Amino acid sequence: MHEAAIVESALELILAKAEEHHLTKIKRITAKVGELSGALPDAMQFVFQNASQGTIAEGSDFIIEQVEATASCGSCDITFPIRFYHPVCPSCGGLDNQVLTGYELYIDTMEGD
Amino acid sequence: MSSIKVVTNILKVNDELTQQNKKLMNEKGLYVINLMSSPGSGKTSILEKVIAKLKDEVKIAVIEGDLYTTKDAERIEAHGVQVVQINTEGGCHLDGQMIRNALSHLNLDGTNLLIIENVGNLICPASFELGEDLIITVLSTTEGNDKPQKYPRMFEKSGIVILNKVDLVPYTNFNKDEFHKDIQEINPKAKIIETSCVTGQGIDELCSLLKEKISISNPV
Ligand SMILES: [Zn+2]
Repeated sequence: MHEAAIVESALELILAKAEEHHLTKIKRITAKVGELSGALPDAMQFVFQNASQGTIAEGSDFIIEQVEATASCGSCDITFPIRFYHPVCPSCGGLDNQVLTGYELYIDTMEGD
Repeated sequence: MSSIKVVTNILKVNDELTQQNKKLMNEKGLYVINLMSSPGSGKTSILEKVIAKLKDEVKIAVIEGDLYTTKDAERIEAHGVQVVQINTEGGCHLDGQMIRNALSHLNLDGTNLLIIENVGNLICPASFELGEDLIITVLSTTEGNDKPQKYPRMFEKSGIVILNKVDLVPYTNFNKDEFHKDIQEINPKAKIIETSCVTGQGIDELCSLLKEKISISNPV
């Protein structure tokens, strides 16, 4: 389960950021996780609840916002959602499309005292 | 209460280590392959065939990732190339820190090709970049042709997709047409090579392609 490694990295990042801003308690964290990022939100949530115990992030709301996967077709000049990982242009059927979103895996915001 | 805009990539630590590793690999003139597959696909056997064929022309080093054992590393070492074993102790993928440790144990002077054999697993290794120039994913015909659709990320990132154990197709329900169609949809740029370590099919083609890629990245 690579979500464990991902969440441990996230937690490291969050705690460092909290220290930088002199927070003593973290209350809320939002993460953006793309559909194509290879990380499952449920698994991340589960790991976070365990890994944050004993840290100032324990008990905080860990909010995972999933980002839809989209791509654009250069020939048709349109943007479309990617279904089942196949970036097929719905208009021309072309395969060579630019993936725009879906690979996000980052901490967006955090709140605390 | 303070609100902080963070916007930092979660895998930042890995990315930074990977950038440092990449710099070292470039300085040493290495062409780096990240070899991935599910367990039992035969990727160590393919690696052995490739090494046997290329080692007189190309100086090769191998980083061998494995959950607990040293069996694969011993097989590679028997071919007389430098090999470092990483035991992930249950970890499902290799990361930047592990590669950094492994690199420090290799003498890379004069080496042209570094092959990183990742932990056998079609899901997790795809999330961690290792500074590679090329990803090769191996699928074997006994695993079923639904794997690319189920685990597309790895296939999407691959420059070469190897379909191994093609000699066994008559004994399986593997549908090669569907497999080729799926790879074409997920990753139209991937080069597909069909191999068999029993008959030797595809090994020459794979070796020629690798030699071509190594010489383009590192002209003499
Ligand atoms: Zn189009």
